[in-house]
Amino acid sequence: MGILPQHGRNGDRMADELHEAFLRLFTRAEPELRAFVRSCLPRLQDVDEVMQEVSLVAWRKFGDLDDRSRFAPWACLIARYEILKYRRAHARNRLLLDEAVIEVLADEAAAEMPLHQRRLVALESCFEKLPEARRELAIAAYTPGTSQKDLARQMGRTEGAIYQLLSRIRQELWRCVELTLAKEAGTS
Amino acid sequence: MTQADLDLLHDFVADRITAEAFPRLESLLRSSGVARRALRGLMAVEEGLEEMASAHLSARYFGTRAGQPQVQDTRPKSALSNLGDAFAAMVGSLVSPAGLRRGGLLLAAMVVGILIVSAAWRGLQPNARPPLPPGVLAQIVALSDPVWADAGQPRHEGDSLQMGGLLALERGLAEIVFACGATVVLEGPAMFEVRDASTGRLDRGRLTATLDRPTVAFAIHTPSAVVTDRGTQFGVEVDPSGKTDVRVFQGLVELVALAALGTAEPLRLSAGDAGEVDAAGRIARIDAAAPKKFVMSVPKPVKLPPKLPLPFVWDAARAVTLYRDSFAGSGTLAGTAATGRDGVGNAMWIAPADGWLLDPETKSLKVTATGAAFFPFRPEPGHLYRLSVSMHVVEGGVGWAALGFSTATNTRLATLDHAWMLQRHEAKSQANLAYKGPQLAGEVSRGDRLSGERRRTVVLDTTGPRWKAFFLVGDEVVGQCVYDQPPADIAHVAISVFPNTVVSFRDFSLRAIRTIR
Repeated sequence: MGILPQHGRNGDRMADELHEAFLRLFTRAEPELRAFVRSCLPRLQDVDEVMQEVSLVAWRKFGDLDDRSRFAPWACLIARYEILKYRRAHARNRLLLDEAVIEVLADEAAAEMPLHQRRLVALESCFEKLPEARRELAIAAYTPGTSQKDLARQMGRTEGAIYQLLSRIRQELWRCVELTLAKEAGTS
Repeated sequence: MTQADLDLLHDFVADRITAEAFPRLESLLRSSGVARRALRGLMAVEEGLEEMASAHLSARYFGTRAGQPQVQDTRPKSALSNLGDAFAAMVGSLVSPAGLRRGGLLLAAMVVGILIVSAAWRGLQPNARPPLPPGVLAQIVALSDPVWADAGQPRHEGDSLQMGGLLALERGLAEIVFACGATVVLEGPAMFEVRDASTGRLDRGRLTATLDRPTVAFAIHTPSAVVTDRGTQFGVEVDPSGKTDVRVFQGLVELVALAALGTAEPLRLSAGDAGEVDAAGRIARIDAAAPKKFVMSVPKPVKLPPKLPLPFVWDAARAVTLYRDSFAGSGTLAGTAATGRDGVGNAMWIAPADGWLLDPETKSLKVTATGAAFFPFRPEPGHLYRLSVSMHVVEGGVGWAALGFSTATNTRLATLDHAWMLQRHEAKSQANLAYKGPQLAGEVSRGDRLSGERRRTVVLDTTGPRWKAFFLVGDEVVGQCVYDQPPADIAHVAISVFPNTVVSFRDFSLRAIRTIR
């Protein structure tokens, strides 16, 4: 975060305050922003690169933001621009979605940002409903330091079988989350 | 949205979509709002699972536990933390939770990348075999402890099977390759007949069929049903009433009642699905989660190397008992006293609340629930530690029991941290493994297939600058490893049990010899 907005003569103190305010807002919005970016660019390295640009641009322009309560949608606009910029830079040699598709996804993802937390909360309860063995497999599969190959050996399965199992688990969780959200919508 | 659409979205989320499939994905996302929402939902699942794994790391390195607030993180996390921390890794102890999460994301991407290369069907490829001789419909390629019923003739490996060739297997396993390329693993007791180069009939018993060529069809007939696949792996069981139970492990299978063959639409089952046809010909989709254990392959005989002298000297007369439990008590293990280092019963097990019960009749610990039980222990330099327990994995298929060293106490998860070994119920090629750690890293075993009740021992040698671990079955070393850096975070010894596994433990002990150097 080495780029500072322009400040007045009491630059140091103002910069500190501004920096702190920015960090607080960005930290709070980061999960939703990240989910937003990820809904257009599933590859994690892409998401990391775009998020880095988003944080830099947002910090650079933070001084221009009048209404800080609108930080999330404001940052979302920046993210949208950065996603498209990233796409243009990399589309030639990578499988990236068409710009028009990204536009639609970005529109809808922005509208669904408030839903993100509810999805994660629903996911928690859905995860708890999984059989113990599936929970253990899912956690193990996503734990840093554990390779799919190691996991397959530990489980006495092939790597392909492990992948298929994980695929089933993900899809089962997704269905459960959607059902949970639909029920919530029906009762609210 | 069809299952195929969902699979396409999943491939995209998992970053394994092909260039050929990509236009179809774009078209789907362009035209379907439902698909776009599903994509966001799948992404959220992916992210949530990564968070859960990271929550374990955070719990390990930042000391957070279920119910405790996560500092500077207002996102809802309750259940994410509740599973504890048994899968935490050694790396990342100095980075922030967000950094850990990002590490998890990167790792997940690496895992997905590996999977792209390996491809989903890789696991289904049987060993490359030459084609069967002309005119041979099928051939027995492997047997494991077969006992043949009176109704059938004894068979041997390499036997060719012609039309009507019958296998009446009372016990054991038989692997049969068909001329169409399909492989059937038959589990006794079973009655199986070769019909033609791509059809078999199972009258009773259980089999697993694998076909790696989606261009041909392979069918299993039973008294009540016909199961057809085009490149998949599935299990079939026929009970004495003639009811057929089908489980699909990979790919797609069509199930049809024999009585309705050619007149009714088949029930299409995909990976993870299950269906049944009862003796009356009624067909139904059933709960695939109900446990059914199918043997996927016939274990190949392994020639273990000859026994070697133990690579350490264990002078039992000098050994001091740190913990010993003959499991002679009754009730729940948790909180029961074992013999501690002062020779009296004052050492308390940290163990799951349910499913870990002492059986006074057999003087054993019967475990029917996943988890782990611990005693505090920190190794010191200059010692030989001998951690030992007799274990019998009674049920569980690929499920296992383990013994070893751990950093933290999570009584709900089975994977241990350092110098640990596991024994499966099934004695197959990867029956028993040993790990240097952390967790699943550093597999060091040679894959012994010693099942039944076995005494398993982990010896931790801290006498030198580089600590060593030896893994023994009985008095035979089946694996060993050396630590460049001592695993200084060992804080417990543990026994553990994988989900859906039934285990009996006897005679647990941790003994130590101090070595004067």
